[in-house]
Amino acid sequence: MEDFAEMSRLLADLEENCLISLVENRLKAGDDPMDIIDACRKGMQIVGERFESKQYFVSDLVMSGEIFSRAMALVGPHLKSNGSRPAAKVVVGTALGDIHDIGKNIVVNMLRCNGFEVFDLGVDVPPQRFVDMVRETGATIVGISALLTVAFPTMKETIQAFVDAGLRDKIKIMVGGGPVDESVSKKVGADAYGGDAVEAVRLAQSFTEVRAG
Amino acid sequence: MTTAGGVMCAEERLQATIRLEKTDKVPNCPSLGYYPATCAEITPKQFLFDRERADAAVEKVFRVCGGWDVMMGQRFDAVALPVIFPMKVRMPGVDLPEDSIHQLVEEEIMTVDDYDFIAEHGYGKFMSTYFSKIHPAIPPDQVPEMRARNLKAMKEDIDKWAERGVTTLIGGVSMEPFGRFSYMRSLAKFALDIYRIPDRVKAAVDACLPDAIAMAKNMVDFTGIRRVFIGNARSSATFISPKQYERFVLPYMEKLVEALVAENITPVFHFDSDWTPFLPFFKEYPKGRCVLELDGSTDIFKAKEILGGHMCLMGDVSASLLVLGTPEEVTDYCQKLIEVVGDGGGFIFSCGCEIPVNARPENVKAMVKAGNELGWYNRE
Repeated sequence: MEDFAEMSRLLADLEENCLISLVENRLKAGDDPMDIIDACRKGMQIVGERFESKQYFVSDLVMSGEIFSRAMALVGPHLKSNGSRPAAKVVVGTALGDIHDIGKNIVVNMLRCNGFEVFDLGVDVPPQRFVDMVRETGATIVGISALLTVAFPTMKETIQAFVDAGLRDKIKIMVGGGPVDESVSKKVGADAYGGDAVEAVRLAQSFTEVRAG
Repeated sequence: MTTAGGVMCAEERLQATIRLEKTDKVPNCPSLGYYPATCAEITPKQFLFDRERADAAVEKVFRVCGGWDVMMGQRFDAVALPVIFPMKVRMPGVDLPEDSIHQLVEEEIMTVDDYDFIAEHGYGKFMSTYFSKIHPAIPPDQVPEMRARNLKAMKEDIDKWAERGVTTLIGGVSMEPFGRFSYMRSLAKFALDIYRIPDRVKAAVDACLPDAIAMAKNMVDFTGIRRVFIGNARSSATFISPKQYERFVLPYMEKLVEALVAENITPVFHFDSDWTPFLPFFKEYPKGRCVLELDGSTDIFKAKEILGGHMCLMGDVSASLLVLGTPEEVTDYCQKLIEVVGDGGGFIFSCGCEIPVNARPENVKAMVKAGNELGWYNRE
């Protein structure tokens, strides 16, 4: 139990090598991999809280995501099933006409670290690709990113494509990226705007009422 | 020189503004980006590759908006883009549609070992091999000639506008390597480097200083405008913590600014993203010798509170307001900027970063008009 609290702390403090050693040791000792995952998720929650209170910044989020992924790669082979909780599905991509992906990639990582199943469509994504992926996966959340203002119209077209496909009331759509703000979110017809990756996670959690940990 | 009517000439006004002295009005300096292409109904490809049409397009924006007193300098064109960005650049009509603007590719090209190479041999020597990795189609022996052509074009623009009484803000470029490495390594890899190999990153950052100074000095000596553009977003509080800033960025920047100022060069910090938590650090730079240009992400009103009377501010009509707002909303924001940030001087009126290519023309007009009409001090 103490080890799991320590695991959460090490992840929250971004102590990569110590955390990885501890995860390896606990796996060797035969601990339940799900307990390790839960401890790491708790660490990620603390990271998110520190980001929101401006103690942590994007570089810290990236580092925490990296450490979490390394820990999960160690835990993976020990899992007997995919875990007890079915993950909520999120489709994410950068709007058509825009090839920027750093913000989108951080959102994808943070969503995954928080237990979401993410389908990352990459950059310069045509509206129909978003619609097709939602149909294919049954995802209930869509995240659209843009760094360029020229992608505002294509964000709007993407949301319209969901309306035309009769899917708009079955999904929640969040938007984000450099020049995007509340007013952009309203004008393109999204449900919400997330200013950063942690807000995106919070939004996704509020949409699904699935709380990690 | 000041005319009989008490109106300052553009360069005099700009210099006095930077020195935080009283002026007749706020300098009006819209950064045009690709907007001239929109205004003149040509494609971004034509804007980049056809200098004559690009010149005519800039003229058209100037005419349609009623003119302004300061040009930004260093515009985008097909020669400039490869030499000003340290990343792969996708260009309209080459690897993007003709009506798209250029886009930078976030890719890990610089390696971890390159930090050590830079620390040992300097930035200039590193760039001579790195350039071929980002622009394999450009023979290395053409690069000096491209830089010279870019500089010559800058100088021609500066002289052409000066003849018409319009001065130019930027006469050269310098650099902040920490932010630049983030682009060259890619953000995700770079974020890990500053945790895993901080000393190697720091050594490389520090080793860039002589080249950053030489770059600035060579350019301003040629163009005659002793103000240099230092672009940065990745060293902002959007990405790194104040502690990381203090460790990796501040010591270098203090040395760079000191060296530039000693050469009578004004650094113009074109700092995109959110710098709000770092604003107190800017008080370390010499008073009245720098410009801090913000893009709407940093709270410029907070910047005025912290840096007013110490550093000239510039900005910051945001891209989203210019694209989605109404002319009335734009005018209201401009009025607030001029009244609050312009209060007592030390303010250059501008857009945030640059005017987006799909800005509404009536909003651009409203912005420039506000700078021209509302920006006067002591005038009813």
